[in-house]
Formats: sequence, C-alpha cells, structure tokens
Amino acid sequence: MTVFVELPLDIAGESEPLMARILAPQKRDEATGWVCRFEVGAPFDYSLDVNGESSMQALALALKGLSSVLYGSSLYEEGRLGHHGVFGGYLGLPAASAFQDVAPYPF
Amino acid sequence: MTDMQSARMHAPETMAQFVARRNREVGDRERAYAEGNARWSASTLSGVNYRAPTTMGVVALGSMPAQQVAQQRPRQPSVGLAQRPFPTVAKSAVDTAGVHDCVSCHGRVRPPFPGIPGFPFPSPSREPPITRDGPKDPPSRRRRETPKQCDIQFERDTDVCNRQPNSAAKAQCQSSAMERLQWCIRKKGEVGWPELFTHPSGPRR
Repeated sequence: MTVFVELPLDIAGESEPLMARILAPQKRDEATGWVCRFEVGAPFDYSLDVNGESSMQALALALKGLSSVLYGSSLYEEGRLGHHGVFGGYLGLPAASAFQDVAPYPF
Repeated sequence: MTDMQSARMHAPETMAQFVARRNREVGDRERAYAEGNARWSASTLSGVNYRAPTTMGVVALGSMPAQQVAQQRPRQPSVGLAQRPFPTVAKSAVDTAGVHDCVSCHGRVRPPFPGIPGFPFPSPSREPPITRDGPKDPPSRRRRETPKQCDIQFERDTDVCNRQPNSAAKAQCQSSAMERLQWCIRKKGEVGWPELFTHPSGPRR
C-alpha cells in the first residue's frame, strides 16, 4: 500500500519524530466499498483499517480516526506531543468533535 | 508387611542414602530454578524484554528474539521502507513469528512448561508462579495509547456496517462507527455511545 500523506510529530525528550501516516484508499476485494489505513509509529505502533463506501469517505474517516488517536493520547494530555516544537497544541490536523474541549481545532 | 520388608532389604540403597540422594536432587532443582529465575528477571529488568519495542522483541529464556526467528525464515519479497506497514492491531506476534508471548497485554508471564527446549529450569511447586508484576517491579507492559475495547467495538461496528442492506446505510453506519470510536477513546475506553446507526431492515449487531 502506498503512503498517501504523512505527518511527523515531536515527542518531548525524544529525538526521533513520531510518524503518522494515511495510506492511499484501496478498493476492497471481498466486498463493495473502500478501505483506508492509517498508521502511527512508535511508541504508539498503531494502525487501523477504516471502511468507507467511497474512497473519499474512507479517507475522511481515516483522518478522523487518526486525529482521535493523536488528540486522545496520554502523550498529548501530558503535553508531550507536539508539532514543529510546540507541545500540547495544534498537531497539524483538525481534532474530531469529541476532543473539542481539549483540542479546539475543528474540522 | 513381609513383602515391604523384603523390598526394603533388597533395595539397592539404604534409607539414609535415599534421603541424601533426594536432598541432593531437590537442591540441584532449586539451584537450577533460582538461576533460571535470575536470568529471566535480569533480561526483563535490565532492558532486553522491558524495553522491547514490541512483543516481537521479547526474549524467552534460552530462546532468541522473535526478530531473529523471523530473519531465519525464508525471506519475503522486500517492500520499500515507506511502504512497510506498521504492525496491525489484528496481527499477533504468533502469526508473525510463531512466538507465544503477550507481554504487552498480559504482563510478564512464566515461560510455559518445564522440559521444553529453551526452558531449562524446573518449576518447584512451592514457588509462587510469576504471573504478575510485583509491587516493586517496574511495569512490564508498554503503554497502550488506545483502549483495546475501542478497537474491538470498532471492528464489530464495521462488521455490522458491512452487512447493511444498501450503500447509503453502509456509509452512514461507517460514519457512526467512527463517531463511536472517537468517543470511546475520549472516554478512555467507555464503549456503547453514541448508538450505532443501522438501517431499520439491516442487522443491528
């Protein structure tokens, strides 16, 4: 699968960036619809396949999922996750509705 | 009674010799166990296992890291670094390298059975099994950033959505499944809210 978009994030006290990626949506083989995977590198080591009826929906939902994982992480809560050296604020992608109280960066 | 006395009389060793031999055997077993236990603790506390980035990096006593096991297998066609996927939530270490260890979910566990190659120490029954971290042990599990139950709920929701009767219902259901994942993460693992959208004629679970 091809990496579609990528976002390097900073972790306080770590030299290596945390890589968050969304892979290109792919048509599902076994059923109708599309699937789009997002991945978050170490220390999360997390990935999720998100289904959508169109490639656009799969991509949009994957972005929401990625946003939830990042803004909902304990690293973000502790103010240790950042973007361009600014920690605990905007991470370079909008925050899902459930996180507006802690990350007021709506879609 | 006569038979027992006869058996004792014809036994190859005296009772004193028997007791001495048993004591030696027990001593040997306990020494081997203590040595194995120390090696296990050292590998866990000093870094190898405690700092293992994934379950694949956990080293069982007398064994080798799963990465090395994987390396010894026939090589897979290589993919570019950018295309190499991270471990997926659904793929277990067992599937990947045949290594049965779930430290990241269940904490440090005793290696399964004595007598298996690679697990040289016996298990004296009077020792408590090592099934959990003690109060003074550092945590042996990696921090999980997303509650497991949220992933499970999302997986089930996706399954329900895929069985909806038409594309419009599937689309709305998938959007609703993501909404539930968001809230589950936000509420630190509280599942079941909001309700999953399903078509009146489609499956609800």
